[in-house]
Amino acid sequence: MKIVVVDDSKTMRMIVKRTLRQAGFGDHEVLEAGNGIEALEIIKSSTPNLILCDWNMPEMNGLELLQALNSAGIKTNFGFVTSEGTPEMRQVAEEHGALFLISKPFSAETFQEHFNSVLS
Amino acid sequence: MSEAASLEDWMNAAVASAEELATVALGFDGATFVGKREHMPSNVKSALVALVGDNASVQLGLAGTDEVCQKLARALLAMNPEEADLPDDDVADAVGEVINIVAGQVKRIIGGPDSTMKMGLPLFVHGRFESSEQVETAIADINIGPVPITLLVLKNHSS
Repeated sequence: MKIVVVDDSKTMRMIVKRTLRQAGFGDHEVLEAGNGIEALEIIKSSTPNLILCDWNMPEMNGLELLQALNSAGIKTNFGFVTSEGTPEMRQVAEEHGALFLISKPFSAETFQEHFNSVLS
Repeated sequence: MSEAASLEDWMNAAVASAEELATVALGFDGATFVGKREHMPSNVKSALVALVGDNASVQLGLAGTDEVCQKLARALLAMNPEEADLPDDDVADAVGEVINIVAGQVKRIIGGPDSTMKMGLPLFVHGRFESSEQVETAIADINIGPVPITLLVLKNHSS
């Protein structure tokens, strides 16, 4: 399966990949993007099974990416992995079709809870 | 918090956030508040994130020496001791992510009721941030695990 990790921080992309491995999802192919614009191109060409996306990014933020995917009719499993996680943001995320919003810092157990059903 | 948070509230939230970061993200036992200070230390690198809403305009920052920044970055990336040091741009990215995580938690603690509050992107500089008459300033030393850092809160007087 393919997972797209979208975050403007290379460090955070590495941490997400590491945590995916720790959570037992290391066998999946992981693609990376540094912002929503890059991610949109990757998603259109690779049809991933799961998108893990930061919220606050330059060029195109995570919500804008989700909105762009919705506008393009691209249906895929999408969730936010972000340092922010207010109730308002969770509501907005859900309203736009995000399956989850995971707040940083996160653990392998958190990934397992949220991804087992998606990636099984 | 239903009314405007004080400078002390912001610093307390930053310390609490740093404690959670230390255990969950950095693999340390916790964080220890060392004490307040009047001025930022010299010979440091610093990272800053803005939190701005209708009720508050605050900059949260952390600072540390080259060695401290390297240690923070290595801890965040769970690097082994034998691995080579990270290059400067990777350290900047990692330390920026550290303050980003701290700020996100502070936003949840302090800014929860303020739905207008937005968080900026981290800024990393070689040097220290100075306060001015337009801002209230709180500076404190804490140990994130074994790593000594300085936390900074700059709060606009009007907020």
